[in-house]
Amino acid sequence: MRYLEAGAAMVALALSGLALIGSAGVHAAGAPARVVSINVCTDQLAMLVAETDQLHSVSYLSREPQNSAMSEEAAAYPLNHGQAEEVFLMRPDLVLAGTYTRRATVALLKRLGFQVEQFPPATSFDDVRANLRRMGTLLARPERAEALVADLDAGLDQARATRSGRRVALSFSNSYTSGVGTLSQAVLDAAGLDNIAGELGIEGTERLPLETLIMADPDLIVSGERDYGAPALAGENFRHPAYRALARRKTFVAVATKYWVCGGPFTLQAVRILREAATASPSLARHGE
Amino acid sequence: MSLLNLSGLSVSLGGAEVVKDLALEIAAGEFVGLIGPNGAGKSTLLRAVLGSIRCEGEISMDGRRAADLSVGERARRIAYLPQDREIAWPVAVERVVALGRMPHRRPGPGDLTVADRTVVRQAMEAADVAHLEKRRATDLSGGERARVLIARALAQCAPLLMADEPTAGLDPAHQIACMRVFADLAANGSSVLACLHDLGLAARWCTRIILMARGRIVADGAPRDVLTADRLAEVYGIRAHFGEAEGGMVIQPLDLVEDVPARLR
Amino acid sequence: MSEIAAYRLLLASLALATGILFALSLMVGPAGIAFSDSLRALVLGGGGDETREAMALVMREIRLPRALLGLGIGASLGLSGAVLQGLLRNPLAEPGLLGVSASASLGAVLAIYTGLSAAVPLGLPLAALAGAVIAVLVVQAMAGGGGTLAIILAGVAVSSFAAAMTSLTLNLSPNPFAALEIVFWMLGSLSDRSMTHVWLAGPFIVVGCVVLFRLGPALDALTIGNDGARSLGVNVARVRLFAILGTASAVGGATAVAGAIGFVGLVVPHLLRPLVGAVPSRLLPASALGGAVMVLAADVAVRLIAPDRDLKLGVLTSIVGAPFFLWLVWRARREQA
Repeated sequence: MRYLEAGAAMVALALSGLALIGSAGVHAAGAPARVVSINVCTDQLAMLVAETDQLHSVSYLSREPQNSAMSEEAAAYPLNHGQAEEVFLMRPDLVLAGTYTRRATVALLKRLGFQVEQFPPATSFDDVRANLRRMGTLLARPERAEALVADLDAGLDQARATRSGRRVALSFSNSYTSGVGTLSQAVLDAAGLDNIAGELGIEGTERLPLETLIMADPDLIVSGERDYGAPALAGENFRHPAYRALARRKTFVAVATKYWVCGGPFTLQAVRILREAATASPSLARHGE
Repeated sequence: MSLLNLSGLSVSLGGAEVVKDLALEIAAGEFVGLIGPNGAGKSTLLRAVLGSIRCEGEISMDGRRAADLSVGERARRIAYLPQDREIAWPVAVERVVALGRMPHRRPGPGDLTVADRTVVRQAMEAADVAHLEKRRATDLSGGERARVLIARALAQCAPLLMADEPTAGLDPAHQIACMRVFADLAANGSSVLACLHDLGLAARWCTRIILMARGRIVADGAPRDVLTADRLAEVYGIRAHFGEAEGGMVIQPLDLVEDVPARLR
Repeated sequence: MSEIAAYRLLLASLALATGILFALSLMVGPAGIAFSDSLRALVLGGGGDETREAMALVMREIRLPRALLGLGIGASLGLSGAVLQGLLRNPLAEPGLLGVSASASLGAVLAIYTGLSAAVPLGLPLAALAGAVIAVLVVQAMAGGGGTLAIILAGVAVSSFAAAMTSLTLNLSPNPFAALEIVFWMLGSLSDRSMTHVWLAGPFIVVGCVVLFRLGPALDALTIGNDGARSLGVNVARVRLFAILGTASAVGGATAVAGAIGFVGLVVPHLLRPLVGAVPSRLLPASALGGAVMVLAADVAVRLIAPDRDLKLGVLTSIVGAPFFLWLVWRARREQA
C-alpha cells in the first residue's frame, strides 16, 4: 500500500516534470490552467488530481476539518465562498461544482460564459472511480486519476472482509440514516456489514425514528461527526437517554463525517475503521470468525 | 362615625391637577349627590377613593386609614359603580350580580350560600332585572345593562356606595327607581355618593349636594342651599326654573345665561 | 343546579378525551408495538429479555415523555390563552398572537445555540421564560388600554421581531444544522423528546399552571372592567403580574422544549366559552383540558399522517387555528360596524 502510494506520487511528480519541460506554457496543451472549485467534494478531487498551480481556489468548506478529509492540503489554496461575483473576479478557465449545490451560482457563471463542470455526489465506489477519471480528463491528468483509482481498488481489496453478518445501524444527526443507493451503504458493504436500513426498507437518506432504531436492535451503531463547534438541536438524538441506553449496550463506532460525506480515496478510511470495529467486537468471536 | 373622610386630597392626571386639596366627610345615612360640570374632577375623586389612581392626602374609611386597608377590606366598606358599563363576556345576568358577593366570600371555589343568593335576588329585584336573570348580559340593551350593574353594586352590601352617573342611559321610570333605591339605602343607615348630571333628580332625592368645579368643592349642603340660581349661573353657565312640587324641590334647566363663560363657547 | 351539572359533565368529558388521547399517544409510533405489550413494557419494564428491554426503553423513554409533554404543553397553552383573554378582556389574546411564544422561542434559541443551556441546563427554560415576560411587557406597554387592534398589532410586531432574531441567531451559528432548525422553533414539535425535557419543562409548566388557575375569581371580577374588579377587592396590578408570570412560566417552559405551537390558546378557549356560560373562572380548567386534547390530538395526527417526515405540530394547529382567527377578525369587524 505504502509502496503504491509512493509510486503514484513518483508518477505524479514525473508527469508534472514532463509537463514543465514539454509545454510552452506551464500546462499541457488544452489543459485548464486556472481552475476554481466551489464544492467541498470537487475541491478534494481536484486537489488530488490537479497539477501544482493548476488549481487556483477551493471552497471555504474544504478547510473545515469536520467536512473535509483534506483540510490541511486546502490551506495552500485561496478560499472562495461559491459566490458568482468572487468566482468571476478569479477569472477561472474551468469551474468545478456539485450537481445539486449552488445552482443559481452555476447558472449565472454559465451565462457569463464560464466553463462549469458539475459533479454528482458519489453514491458508490463506482461513482468515486468515475468522478476521479472524469476529473483526470477535465484537468488533462488521466494518468494521475488512474493511479488514484488503482490506489482505491488496492485499498478496497485489502479491506474487503467476508460478510460478518453483523447488523449495523447508521445514526446521523437529526435521527437520519442511510440505506440503499448511498455511499454509506457502499462503505458498509465494503466492510462486510449488514445495514438495518435494508430490513426496514429504507432507501437513500431518511429519518430513522429513535424508537424504530431501538426496536431494530442492531449490533453496532455507527455515527458520524457530532461536534460542529457549536450546539444545535440536530445532535439532540445522540443525547436522548434512550439512545444512550442503547449505545451503552451495543458497540458504538464513530466514523468522522469527512471520510464519507464526499466519495474519494479517503473514503477507504471509513471502511477500515468499520472493519476494525467489527473485528474488535467481542461478540464477533462468538460467531466463530 | 364617618364612613368616609378625605382631607388634603389632590390628584394629578397627566401633569394636570384634577382634584385640588379637597376635604370631605360622609356620615352614615346620607345620600350625597356629587354634581358639577364635565371635567370638575368628580369621577377622578371617586376613583381616587377606590384606590385605582394615585393621590396625595388622607383617605380614611370607618376611622381607619385607607392605606392600612387591603383591597379586600376596602371592598367590604365601599361599593363602586363605574361610569362605563363594561361587561366583557356573555355571562348570565345573575352571575354578574353575584359578583357583588365576592368581597364577602372565602377565597377558593365554592358556590354561593343561601344568604348570598337571597341578597343577589333582592338586588336584582331592586334594580328591576330579576326577570333578566338567565339572559346573557351582552345581549341586553344599554339601560338594562346599566341596571344589572347597579344590582351588582347593591349586592355588595357595602356601607358606602359610590356610583358614577348611575342614571345615565336609563328611562325616566328606571331613573326614578334607581334614585328611590339609593334613598332607601340611605334611610336604612348606608350612605350613597353618586355623581349626577341630572340636577332635577339630584335636587329631589339627595339629602346633601356637593358641587364641584375645577377640582374643588364650591358648595356643600342641603339641595336648597347649594342649588341656587347664582351658583348654577356661575358654575354651569345656565339659568333654570325653580319650583316646588309634592313637598320637594324642582329644578328644570332652561337655557345658557347671557354672559356664557368663555370655556363653554 | 343543572348548570353546575352541565359544567361538571363538560369537564368530565374533556378529561376523558384527554385520557384517551394520552393513551393513544402512548400507542402510536413507528415501532409498531402491540397494545398489551406496550402496556406491560410501560408498567413492568423489560425484565431481562432483550426485546422486552427494548420495548420498555421505547415506552418509558420515548413515548411516555412525548405524551406527558403533549399533555403539559397543551394545558399550558389552553390555560394561558384563557387567562390572557380574561385579563385583557379580548377574545383574540393568545400566547402565539401576542408574541409570547415567539419570544420564548428566541430566549430558548439564545440559550441553546450560545451553549448556555449546555453549561447550565436550567438556563434553557429560564431564558425562554425571560423571553416570554419581555414579550408580554412590551405588548402591554404598547397596547395597554388600547383596543383589540392595538394588541394584535403589538403582538405581530413582537412576534416578527422575535422570529427575525431567532433566524439571525440560527443563521449565524457555525453549526451547519442550526439554520435548518428555524422550522422547529417556529412551528414546534414533540418528536423524540425525552424525560430530560419533561424534568426541565415540567416544574415551570406546573408552577405556571398553578399560578394561572388561582386567578379564576379575579378574572370573573375583571368581566366588569378594571375599576369594577378593584371595587370587588381584586388587586388588579397583582393579578396582571401573576398572569404575566404564570403565562411566562408555563409557555416559557413549554416552548423551551417543544418550540412555538400556535393558535391553541386562541381556538380552545373560544370553542369552550359558550359551554361554560362564558364564566372566565370556569373556562380555566376547561381550557387546560381542551388545550391538552388539541395538542395530544395534533401530535397523534402528525405521527399518523406522515410517520417518517417529522411533520411539525404547529403546521396542524395553524391549519385549524389560522382560518379560525380570520373568522374571529371578520366577526369582530362586523360587530363594530
